[in-house]
Amino acid sequence: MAATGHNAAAEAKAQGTGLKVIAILAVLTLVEYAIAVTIGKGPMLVTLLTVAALAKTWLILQYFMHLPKLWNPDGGH
Amino acid sequence: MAVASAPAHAEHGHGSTHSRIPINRMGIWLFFFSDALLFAMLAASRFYLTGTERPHELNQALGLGITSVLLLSSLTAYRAETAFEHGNVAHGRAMLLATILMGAAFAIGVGFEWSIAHWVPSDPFGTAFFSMTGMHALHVVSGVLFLIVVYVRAGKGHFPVGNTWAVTSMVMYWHFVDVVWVFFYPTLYLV
Repeated sequence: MAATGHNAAAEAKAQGTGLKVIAILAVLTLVEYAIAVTIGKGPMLVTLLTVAALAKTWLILQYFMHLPKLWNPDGGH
Repeated sequence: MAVASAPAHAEHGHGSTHSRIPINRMGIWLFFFSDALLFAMLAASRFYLTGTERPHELNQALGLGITSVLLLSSLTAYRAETAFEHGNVAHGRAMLLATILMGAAFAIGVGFEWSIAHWVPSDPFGTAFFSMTGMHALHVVSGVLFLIVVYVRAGKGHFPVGNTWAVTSMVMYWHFVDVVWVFFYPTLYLV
């Protein structure tokens, strides 16, 4: 059964959000790789990779895992 | 008795299904938290054993490749969840199948990495590498198996609009596995 009317529009909007999030995640992953290749090793590398990983985690928790629904069941993404 | 009969109510779409979701959601987050501690300890052991050193023989292309596949599988899982929530079962099943295939591809990639590894489990890095990738791959394989169960049940019409918690929880688990790799990938391949 395919979505129709309002459902289709709502689904398309949600799918668009997913595409934006995955695009940012992909960019952050490539940035991680570029940082590792550029810097090589050391505390600065670990710090920058940690920041990137935390940013990616926040995006996944917020938009893909619907963390806000934990305290607001009717809200969130 | 009430607890024992609850799944039967949920299965048939009665009113109790919706009211149970907040407590189900809390339960799965508690599971994620406890499982995250296990993965955090594995990541910590990697730095304890080898500091910030890593072997030059690591296959960076393979690491980036399997990371990209797992990341992309999160999108298809999200699209499957969204499709089921809006009653688009055919698209939801297609996206579930894509997620299953990408999960299997990730597991095969890890297996290939194991087969060409230049280090052994008794090395400090080998201990960390095989423990971390092994435990994570175990979660990926179990996720793939449960995704197959959800895929088959979806084909039998088990998840109509308003009764998609099984899909949602499975997809949340898949995203959790992805989050773990978000930390494991730089810990093993980049630091």
